Amino acid sequence: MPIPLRVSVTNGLPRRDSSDTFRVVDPLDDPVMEDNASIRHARYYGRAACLASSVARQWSQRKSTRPGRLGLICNGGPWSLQASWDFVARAREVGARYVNPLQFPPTLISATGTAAATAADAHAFAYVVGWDRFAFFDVLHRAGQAVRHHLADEVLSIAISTSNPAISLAAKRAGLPEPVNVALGFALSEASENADFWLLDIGYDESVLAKYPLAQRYDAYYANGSLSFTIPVPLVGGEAYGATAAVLIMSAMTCHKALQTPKNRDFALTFREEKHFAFAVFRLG
Amino acid sequence: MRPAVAALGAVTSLGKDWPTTWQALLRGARSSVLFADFDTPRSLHVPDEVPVSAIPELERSLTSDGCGAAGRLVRSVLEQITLPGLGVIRLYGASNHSETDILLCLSQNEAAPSSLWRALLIDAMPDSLSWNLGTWVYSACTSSSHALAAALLDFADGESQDAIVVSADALSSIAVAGFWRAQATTHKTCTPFQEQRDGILIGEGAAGLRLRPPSRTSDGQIHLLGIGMSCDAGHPTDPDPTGTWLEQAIYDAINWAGFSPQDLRGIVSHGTGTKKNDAIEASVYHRIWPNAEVPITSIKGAIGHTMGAAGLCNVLVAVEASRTGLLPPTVSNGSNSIEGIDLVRDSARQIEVGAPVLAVASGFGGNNFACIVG
Repeated sequence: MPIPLRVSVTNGLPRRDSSDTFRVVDPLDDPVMEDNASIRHARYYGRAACLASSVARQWSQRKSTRPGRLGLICNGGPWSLQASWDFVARAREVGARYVNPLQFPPTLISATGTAAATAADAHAFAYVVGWDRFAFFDVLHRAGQAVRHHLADEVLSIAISTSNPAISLAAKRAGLPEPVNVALGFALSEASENADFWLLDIGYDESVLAKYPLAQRYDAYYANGSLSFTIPVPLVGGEAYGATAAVLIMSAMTCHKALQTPKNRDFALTFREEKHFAFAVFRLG
Repeated sequence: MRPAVAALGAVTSLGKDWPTTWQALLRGARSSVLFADFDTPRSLHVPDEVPVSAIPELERSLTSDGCGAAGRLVRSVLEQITLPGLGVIRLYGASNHSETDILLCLSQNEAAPSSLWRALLIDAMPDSLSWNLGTWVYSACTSSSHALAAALLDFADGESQDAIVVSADALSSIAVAGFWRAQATTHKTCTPFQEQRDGILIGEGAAGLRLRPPSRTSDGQIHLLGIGMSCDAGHPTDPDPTGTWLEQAIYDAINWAGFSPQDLRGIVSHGTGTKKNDAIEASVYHRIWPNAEVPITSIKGAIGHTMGAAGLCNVLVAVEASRTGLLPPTVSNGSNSIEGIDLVRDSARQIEVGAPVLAVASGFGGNNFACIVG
């Protein structure tokens, strides 16, 4: 069995009423996000980078990890689409000669991750991984691996899902649901007695799940777009593409805390889509 | 676990496979055409004078599922290195601006099929590969480097016994326009680490590398010995002027491999040909090797900056350099090299066969990566 990893959670925007609650961001929050993100030329970066940076900044204010030992990984997705769209539109309209060069870096998918790394002062590494609904499993897998191999003491794993006019248009034309706006941060570090949550296992081999007795765990199954679960409260869903797994994990953790479900139960999340499969098992402390 | 490099594959402006590319690099060949001569959508009105390094006769049309030139490059490399083997092969991929062609197509064609719009939301290239086990990484010009790191760690964890790391980027109008507007493109010839260098030669290409467990006999195999990574976490485009974090990544790779700096025999640098990058990178090498003990080369004057594939291209060169004992030359314009480094230029340099060679990559957002093979 892999070494359990301590999981600490944070959400996108600072709230006065509570600290770790799940929150879907409203587009009206954009100016607040840009202020919170505190990244250079925030308006060119768009909502995803601002939101991810806001999570990272919020996290950095309470962390004690040395900058060189903090890594950052985000899930992939079309978050840079608006920046690319704006760049192309401007260049077609007036010619490349008159495009603001500041518009160029945000056209990269990776800009979300590196902007957030700057906000968190994370110097170990910063990259984006995954492109589909399994992306956040890849994020947690890589984050855990980096901690276990001592590439970082702590890895801030950010789940991002945002919409904007370009994404809305693409979703509409493709007949796909528009993603919700959400940013969640899961910081993984070595196991600690004081943790509320632990990541026990993550992987892509279904047979491994048998190690965790059914009687001692809650389950949530996400298969081909529909969700079922055994945790005794409704889980919050929503189409969050690469961040979908994170939304469900955070939802289970929040429910567990708020409703005081029995301690030391495990929560297993499994995803299946066509021939792809992934799972993650958490201990709810 | 030090996985062995079992196969190399590439498509570059100098060759449709890795052996052709390697021989051309050793000869000091280079490939450069004007962007205007190149058959790509010109709707962004990039000026005609920007030189790029383009792959001749590359098919650039989009399929209805959004797979374009970059996707074709990936498939070509996979065909080169997916030899019959045992067990499950894991795929680790990386790219950068591959969605550009889709975006351009859609911005000009209101009646485009819905599958192209879908390809904007769910990256068309990895989605179309249909591998059972795949990891796709995005970190600008270190994308393929981080993909390699993921493969190495899975080997160390016993999660993989046979892996392919592959990366590709095709010429993107956004990238050409963006680098040109940032005044980072060369006007004529890209000459890394030389005093009269004036910028990047934007390129395209694909690289692939297959990793297998090391064989028990010493049969001339080259192994992945260590990696190091860091992030400047400072400026969106410019490297950290002190080079502190790049230096850290190099030392981490050296420590991982269990070497001292003096054990290395060659460096395949990031060496973009820009004033800032090369000055900072050279200063880092000078700090680590104050007497310029280790020869340094850059291939970006020859095949251009292949963006997301650039880090893996450097690793391929490092592997071949160690295997053959030859470091290819850096494209030169006759001006002096930056002081304090031993730049390989004019002709290939002999090094000890099987000796450890360092490959370095950096990217937008400040990511740095170092890898040692030997």
